[in-house]
Amino acid sequence: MSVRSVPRRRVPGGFFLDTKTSGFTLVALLLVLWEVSVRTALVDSISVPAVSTVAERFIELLRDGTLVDEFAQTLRRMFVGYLLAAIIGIGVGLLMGYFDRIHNLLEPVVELIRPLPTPAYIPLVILFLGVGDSMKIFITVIACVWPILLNTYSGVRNVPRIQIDTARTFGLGNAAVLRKVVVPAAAPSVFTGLRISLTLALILSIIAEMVASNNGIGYFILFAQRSFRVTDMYAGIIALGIIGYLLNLLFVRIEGRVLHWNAGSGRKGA
Amino acid sequence: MMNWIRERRAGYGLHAVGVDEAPTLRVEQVTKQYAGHTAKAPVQVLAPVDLTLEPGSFTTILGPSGCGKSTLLQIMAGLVAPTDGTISLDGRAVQGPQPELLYLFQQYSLSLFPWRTVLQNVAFGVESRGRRSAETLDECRSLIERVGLKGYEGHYPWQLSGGMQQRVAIARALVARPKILLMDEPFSAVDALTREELQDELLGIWQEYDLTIVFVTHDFEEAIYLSQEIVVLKAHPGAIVEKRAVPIAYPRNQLHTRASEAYLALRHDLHELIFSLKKKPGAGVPVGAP
Ligand SMILES: Nc1ncnc2c1ncn2[C@@H]1O[C@H](COP(=O)(O)OP(=O)(O)O)[C@@H](O)[C@H]1O
Ligand SMILES: [Mg+2]
Repeated sequence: MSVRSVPRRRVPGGFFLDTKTSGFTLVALLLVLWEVSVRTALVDSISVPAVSTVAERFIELLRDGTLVDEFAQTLRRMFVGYLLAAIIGIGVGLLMGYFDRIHNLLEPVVELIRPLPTPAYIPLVILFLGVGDSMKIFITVIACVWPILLNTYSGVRNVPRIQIDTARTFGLGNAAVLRKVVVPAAAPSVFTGLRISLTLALILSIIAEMVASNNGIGYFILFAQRSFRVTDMYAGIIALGIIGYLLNLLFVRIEGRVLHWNAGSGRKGA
Repeated sequence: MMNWIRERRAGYGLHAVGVDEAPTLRVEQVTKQYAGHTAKAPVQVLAPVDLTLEPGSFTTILGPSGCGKSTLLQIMAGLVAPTDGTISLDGRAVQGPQPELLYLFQQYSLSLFPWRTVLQNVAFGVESRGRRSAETLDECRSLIERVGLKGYEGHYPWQLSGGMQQRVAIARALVARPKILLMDEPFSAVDALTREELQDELLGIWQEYDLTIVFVTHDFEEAIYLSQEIVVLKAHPGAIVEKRAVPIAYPRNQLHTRASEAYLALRHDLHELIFSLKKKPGAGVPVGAP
């Protein structure tokens, strides 16, 4: 279905370079390099344990449920925040894109608040909400809402005028035009925002946990480092990398499902 | 973005759908001005235009690109408000889109919804009138078959050729059961062979559905072949310079009609008329520009 307009240049190496085999081999090589440089004492094994040591510890932490418990806390807060941000971002973005008056009313506020880096709010939010779940969720919402809102807004603004006029010539009213034309037409752009915010949600959840928490994977990593359990720290970081990768994979799957019509229409990445 | 939708909607739904005979569509003293670029004076796109479309008639509006054909058609469709003048159906002045009327966009491929399959796109024509059901879906299927797209129900618009996309747009319009079809250069972007096919299919549909058709084109041969009456528009500002009846009986035939005396005589006249318009000062609009 996907036809490359410019054929990939064939290079010697054939199968190896033309598939992802080369990429996975590089990852394996880097891991071997890590292992070897620790074993040969090229790097300090106190701040960098060997891969094999980290992997062993990772499996232990997975078996005894530590990682599962910490991630349960982190992901629970993260998803609540992400979901709230999605509801607010999509809702307000649609309204701002569709109704000029709402755009005029809200745009200055959005432009004032948006450029502030979210972590700057943490001390302030702690003042109002304490150091519990609500603070971390709130921080996640603040960070995630902007990409979703702005992408939804621009998605709505870029709906071809002809599609809206077509709906009007068929006699559709405001609400029906919004539901049947604007929302599906803006969906690819909304998903772009959602994808950016998914990454942000994980980042902000971890930062919030590092600032003030007694659970969650962010807390686990920081606390391991502070109590000189360096191997635990590495295991936590690697687990976080894997979770981030899986979350993105899941997202791409869902996006592909919802926007299956978009695959070949040449509008990808709108 | 909101206000124009509300404004256009004002007259919608006041009239019963399903009146058997098409209403007479009357354009009276309609003008259109657009604000000019920079701070210049407004641009007069349409000088006062008067036009009457009788029930069941096939009228072609012929004119060079940029003379205001689309503007005039969109005013009739209630998508654009005229600066002055009125549009009426059976003497009832109307504003905004009317259920008896359907406008087919010149950019038909953009007017199809890319997230809907052929069947779903056609079904839009009934959903919008709040009557989607198993029955109406069958109606959609048979219309898809009627326009020659059987087997393509599950395809997406981008998987179809231009001519096929145009057929989807026509099926979607027909399923909404309009009385008057306003078609804006529907066949100008398809290849010559497909165009002839589509022309004959349209004539069939026109008679089968008892439609009033207003057809816009810049191709005077197409105008003669299809219509009962040709309205010639000039540019700057758009104004009617001539109305000509086409004295050729239906059914028409691509070979015989185009070789007939009446056809050739009219073709000769229109050719002269259009080229004399081109030469007139103040009418220097490039003809045939897309
Ligand atoms: N929304 C608009 N604003 C300003 N000028 C417009 C607008 N729409 C059309 N025009 C101008 O009106 C003239 C007629 O356009 P149009 O009706 O599309 O002509 P045609 O369909 O005959 O090619 C053109 O000169 C065009 O530039
Ligand atoms: Mg036009």
